[in-house]
Amino acid sequence: MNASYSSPVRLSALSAVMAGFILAASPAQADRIEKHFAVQSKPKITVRNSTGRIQVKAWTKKEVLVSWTSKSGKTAVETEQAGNRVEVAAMVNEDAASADDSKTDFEITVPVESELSVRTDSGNVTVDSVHGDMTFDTVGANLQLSDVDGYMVVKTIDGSLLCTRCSGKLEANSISGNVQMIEPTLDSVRVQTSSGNIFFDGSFLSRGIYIMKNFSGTIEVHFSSSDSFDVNASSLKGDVINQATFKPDTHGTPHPASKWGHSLFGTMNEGHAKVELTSFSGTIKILKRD
Amino acid sequence: MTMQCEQFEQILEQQDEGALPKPALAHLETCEACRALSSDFSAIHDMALELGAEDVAPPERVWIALRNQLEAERLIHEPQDALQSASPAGPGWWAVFQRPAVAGAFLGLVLAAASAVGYLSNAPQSAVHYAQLTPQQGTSSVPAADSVFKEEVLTVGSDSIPGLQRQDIAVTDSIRRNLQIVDNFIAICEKSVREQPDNQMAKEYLYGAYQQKAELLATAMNRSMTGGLQ
Amino acid sequence: MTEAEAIRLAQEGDAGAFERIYRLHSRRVYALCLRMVGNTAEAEDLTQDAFLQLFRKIGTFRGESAFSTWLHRLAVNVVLMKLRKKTLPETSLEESADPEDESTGPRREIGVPDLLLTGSIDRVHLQRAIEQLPPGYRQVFVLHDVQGFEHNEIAGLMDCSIGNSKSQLHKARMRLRELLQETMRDLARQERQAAKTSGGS
Repeated sequence: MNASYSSPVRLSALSAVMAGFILAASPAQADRIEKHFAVQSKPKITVRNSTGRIQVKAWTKKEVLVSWTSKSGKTAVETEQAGNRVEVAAMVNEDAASADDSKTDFEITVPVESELSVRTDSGNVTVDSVHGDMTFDTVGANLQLSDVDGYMVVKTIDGSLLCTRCSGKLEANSISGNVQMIEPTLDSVRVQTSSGNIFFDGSFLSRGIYIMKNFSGTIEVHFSSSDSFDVNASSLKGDVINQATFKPDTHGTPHPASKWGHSLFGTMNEGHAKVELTSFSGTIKILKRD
Repeated sequence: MTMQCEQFEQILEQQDEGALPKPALAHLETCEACRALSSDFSAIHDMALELGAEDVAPPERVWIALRNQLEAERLIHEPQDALQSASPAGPGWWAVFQRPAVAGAFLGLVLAAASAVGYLSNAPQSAVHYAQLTPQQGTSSVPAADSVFKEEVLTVGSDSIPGLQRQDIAVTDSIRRNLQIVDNFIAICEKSVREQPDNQMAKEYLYGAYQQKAELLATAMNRSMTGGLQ
Repeated sequence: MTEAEAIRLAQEGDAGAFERIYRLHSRRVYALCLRMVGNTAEAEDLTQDAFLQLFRKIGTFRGESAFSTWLHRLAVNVVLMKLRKKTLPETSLEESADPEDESTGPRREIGVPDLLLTGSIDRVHLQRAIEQLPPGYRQVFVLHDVQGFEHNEIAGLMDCSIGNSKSQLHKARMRLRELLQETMRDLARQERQAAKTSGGS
């Protein structure tokens, strides 16, 4: 009788073969690719993605660093520099069968003073400490902007926007996304959503204009007793809840009594800022900050 | 008689360029406060000159808005293609309207929307600005508005956008869901306008809802045409 | 494309020429508007208005003066016209825009030792101080000290007398001096506190 392999040896061989299969079957490690672009001051960076995270940070170098990871081989990232303009676009192959296939995560580091244009369908977008004009166009991506300063134009379908310590001007349009502004120092706010909620907790700057409008959902603004603003709050089918003590409007702006819905208008202190809150059927809350 | 500080200040105020007169110079030699004032004024003036030499670049949107206005006034003879190559800003979300098909679809929807607002509220002046109306088409007939508008616009949904289904399921679902939301708002607003034709706020909301629908459809078409990216 | 060529082509409606002219001059015009009105939103609008007027009138430019001078004056006119049109509630919102404040001006205490600003102020401090000036002071200061207009030119632009222009400039400088001295005192205080903190740790 021929000698057969002993059990321990057979087991080891089998394990090795199994390990080989497992290794072969496991997805390839996502490659991380980096590209550096030397720029002058206030470069313009454009990012186009389908799905995946986009994270933008600032540094003091005169350089744009773009790095990305894509787990599948179904997307190709093209980058281009023309002078002070850097364009990054993730192109999805025709045979990408699922969202995972087309996912590309970007990390982009830019000079503090930069202009951004970001367009993506889904996946979160975060921008931190960048100063400059920014436009965002997403379907369902959620946006988080922190410590940014500039003219921010945001357009989403159901992505939400969280703006923390933002300065400058903000225009945001969404259909069902929420918009939150925490500790802003914005001198112009124009926010409109259909079914999303709008939340504002910050200062009303002198000569600032704050227009917040939705169809349904809640509009909630917080004020402190030292704030100085004129307010005009109207909800056609919803309520207006107010904790402020307003004087009649001191600027002679006519406010004909509205026979439709609930309206509130008046002046807080000297009325240095202008606040307009409008909802079709949502609730408007003007609440005092503790 | 020696000069007093108030007199020195008056001379400083009236002095434009050139050296101060002798009595003022003599006062400066004896008065520390006026010397400091004169020195500070010089420092401010010199720094201001440096400021004046500094340039600050306006944001790109100033040029974009200006260019649009120049085109609208026909002061510029070349249209979009020259401008695209000249503009370093890169395409933004508004670039969707540079595609003639999408821009046309959007304009058509907005025109139809505007005319429907006019019909529903029995207020032809709101529609005249936009729509090509024939006066005979009745200004108070809600069923007529329904048949004109709903047929053409309100039933346009994501199903009629070719290629949308090819995209990321989440994106498609999002667009469909939000189209339903907007359609719902349109229905509610229409009802409000019918019940309260004088309610300006309801009319504005209705018009806004139509615009949103048009924009949403344009977004969907743009993404289906470009495979999701531009 | 040289400026002269751009002007000629722009007079024929060439789009590229318009943009060339804009790129050449927009920074200076914007800086002027920004310094005169003190906020970016209005400065952007005014810059746009100035170039719009320029391009509407470019057919009338015959080269009698330097193009940049012509544009500069046009921009100043646009700014001043806009400021004149502002309604009272808007202008009264600004701190110390009270006409009484502007007519009497900041008072100088005679005999009190002053802080010398020479060598201490920088452009950032000055820019911030200019932004805090009442509008009338700011306009004259920016036109004269920053942009280099003469008093007789300012008088023509602002529809006032030369004496008034000089008086406003003087008051602007006095007020700036006060603001900059406050800034210096604040900085000195911060430095002393920082020194105490680091010395005590």
